[in-house]
Amino acid sequence: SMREVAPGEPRPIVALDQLPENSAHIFEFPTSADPAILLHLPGGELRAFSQKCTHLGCVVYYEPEAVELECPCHEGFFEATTGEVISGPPQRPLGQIEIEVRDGVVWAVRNLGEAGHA
Amino acid sequence: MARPPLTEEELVDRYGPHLNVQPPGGWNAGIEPDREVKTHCCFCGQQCGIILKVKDDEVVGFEPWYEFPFNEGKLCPKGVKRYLQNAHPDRLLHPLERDDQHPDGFRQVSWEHALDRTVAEIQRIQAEHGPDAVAMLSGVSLDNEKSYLVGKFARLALGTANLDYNGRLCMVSAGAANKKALGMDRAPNPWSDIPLADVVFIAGANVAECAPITTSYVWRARDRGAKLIVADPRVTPLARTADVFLGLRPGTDSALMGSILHVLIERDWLDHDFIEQHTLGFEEAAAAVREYTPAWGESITGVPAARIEQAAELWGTSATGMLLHARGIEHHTKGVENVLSCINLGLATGKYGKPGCGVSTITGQGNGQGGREHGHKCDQLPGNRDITNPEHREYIASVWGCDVDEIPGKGLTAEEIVEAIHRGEIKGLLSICFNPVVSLPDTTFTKEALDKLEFYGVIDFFLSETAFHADVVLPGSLHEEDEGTSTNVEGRVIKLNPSKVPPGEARLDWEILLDIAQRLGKGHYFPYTSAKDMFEELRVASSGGTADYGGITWERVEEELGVFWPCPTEDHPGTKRLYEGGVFAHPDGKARFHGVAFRESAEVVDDEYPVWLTTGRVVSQYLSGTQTRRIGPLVAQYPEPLCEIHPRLAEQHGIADGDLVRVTSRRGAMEVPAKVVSTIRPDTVFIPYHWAGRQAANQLTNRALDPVSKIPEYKVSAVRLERVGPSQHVVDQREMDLQ
Repeated sequence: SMREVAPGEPRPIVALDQLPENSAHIFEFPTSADPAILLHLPGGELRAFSQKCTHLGCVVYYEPEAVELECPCHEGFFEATTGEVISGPPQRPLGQIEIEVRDGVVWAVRNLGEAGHA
Repeated sequence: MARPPLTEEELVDRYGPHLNVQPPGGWNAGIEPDREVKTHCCFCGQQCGIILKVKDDEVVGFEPWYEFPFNEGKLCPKGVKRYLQNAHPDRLLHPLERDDQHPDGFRQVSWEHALDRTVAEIQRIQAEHGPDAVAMLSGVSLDNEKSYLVGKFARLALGTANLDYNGRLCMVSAGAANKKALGMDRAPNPWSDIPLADVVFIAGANVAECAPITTSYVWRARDRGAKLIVADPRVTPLARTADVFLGLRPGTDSALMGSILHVLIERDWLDHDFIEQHTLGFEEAAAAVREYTPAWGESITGVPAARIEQAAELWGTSATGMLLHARGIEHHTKGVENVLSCINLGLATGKYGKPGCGVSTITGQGNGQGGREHGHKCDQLPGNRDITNPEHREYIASVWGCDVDEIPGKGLTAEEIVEAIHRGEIKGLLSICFNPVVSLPDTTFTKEALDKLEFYGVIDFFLSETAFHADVVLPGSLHEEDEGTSTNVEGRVIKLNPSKVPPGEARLDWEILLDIAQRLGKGHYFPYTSAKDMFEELRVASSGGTADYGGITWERVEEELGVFWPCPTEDHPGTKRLYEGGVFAHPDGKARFHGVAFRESAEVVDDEYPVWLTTGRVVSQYLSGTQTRRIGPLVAQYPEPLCEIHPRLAEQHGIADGDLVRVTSRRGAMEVPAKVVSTIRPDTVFIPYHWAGRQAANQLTNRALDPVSKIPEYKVSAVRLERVGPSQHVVDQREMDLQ
């Protein structure tokens, strides 16, 4: 990464029971100017990513049938489990956000950025 | 009196613009060209490589030239249609002389007659009113050889000080600021540095439309994760992908940059070592912005303070960064100050002389870089020498073989020449490659001036709206008919190769100038038999100047796919990146900060004219449109000027999309269809300027000039809007059949 990633202040996103499996919820993190997307994957895993495509910054959407994230501007596709690029013009994975479930509520805990991919 | 012989409508009917919609022989994918010519596009300062296909001495198509490193085969909408200016029905094939009795307004005459008349008129006017009563206007779509020739021709053949060029409408504010701050006028970086920048800051440059191939460089930086900042009153196409968009009010660029510098200082995002070791004047620059807090910046520019801080943080904390600017900050009565305020940001953060670091203008015109170096500018001699400097004059006199006193002094700039014509002080004009009726501000004034000329001679390949005023028209050559070099936006000298010979009686531009010089009794100064002879002399004349071409040969340029100046000797590799090691081009090696205090534009909005007008370009048209308004597929993309207007402003005036709107300034009024878009500030309208007559945006613009660069303030006028009614087009050209 070119610069230090702003970690952000932990904040609640949504109650888990409001987010059915294989669906997505849009929120903002680490600041109110940063669109982000929370996924409840089939099987129950949770993931959260920056919603900004790493190509030219369009917002990505969740495609439940393919279990992928899609950028409609230039047909960029990302893995919903890892944020890695599947195909299209993006060269870098989506920025990742660390999340936790606290008392039935999903929290955004820390912005990991693109380097957050293990 | 150089009044047009017929009405503008009658002249357009006879001489165009008419549309060329297909190549000679029609669309034919199977055509086998006789030869393929590696050359360059003529339609902007990027100078993209292109291969023209030639069949039976006509250009019939093109192929991408993948090996040329700047554009690697990529071309923009203008580039892929450029070949359609060839074999055009409007092409001037014979010398013409104005004849008010002739049904066409002009009659064909012989070259002998046209040249004799031209020379006799020049000599008569100069005998009666002195040498400077004849002026010359030139253009930077001319190659380096012709730019050099025009500079020498005007000084030694015409003997006038009053030579200037349409580069005056392009990048002169940047040129002047670069010289003041850095000691040299060239983009500091090869474009290959852009993808190495961690932050790309675009200020007043509609990159995607005016320098389209540069977009790919920005996107390569984005692919690495670079941040993008865009400052513009319009959400230009590239701005739509920006991380930080600074939607500033027209005319407030230096306030924005000053405010960013204020934040850099306050947060200590400075490169102290660089400032200490390689610059002078930081304290003066800092003092000028001491009060320019983000809140103050917001109050002047309309950009939220938080976004000013965000931009400052991105610029100040990124290890590498490129700031690219263009006419948006340069076309102002404070164009030089605006550029200096950008350079201050580069110097304060040490972003010079390193990979991915620099502050650069994006030249607009084809040879905007090379054409501003070799002497067809009123204050300049070849090699970017100063016409008022005795040592520079002595050196050029020695190269030219003339007495130093034969070289006139500094003359008037382009708009000042037109004003002197209007006052009756300049009575004769020779022009080449310049269409001031469309491209200068305040069209009515420009036409009045031309009407007053006792003699006006024009060298051109089409009869432009300016040439409608000519007494004598000398048919010259298209870009693809002559041979020479140009210098692209990066400072890369490249080779233009001829595809064909001029049609009819049309001739190469330089041959025409040599014939006039001969008739003026000055032929001994111009002993050239080819364009290459001129380049060889240019090499010597530029040697030792800042724009040093001494070591550049046509052969090297072709072999190396371009050579970057300065290149003093044949064994010198050329200079891709300037100022490496923090060594600037001033004699002491140091760059200069400048204190830039914000001041308002020459004209500001008021109750009578409450809306800001800014002008610019569209991707499918080039400059005054002399060439591109004649190419059918380009005209189809954007057939007429439209007035971009925000939905809120439109609603206040009861204007719906497509309605005809009257836009009125203190200079004039025009009726233009509204294009209601949310991508512009609600206090500002935008009209592209490529059209003539009643469609000319410059009917509205202001003749106010920058005191240093003498660039007109195209980017800020005050206007009012009135709805005229629904669109009244008899034929919607957007639906025209292009077969």
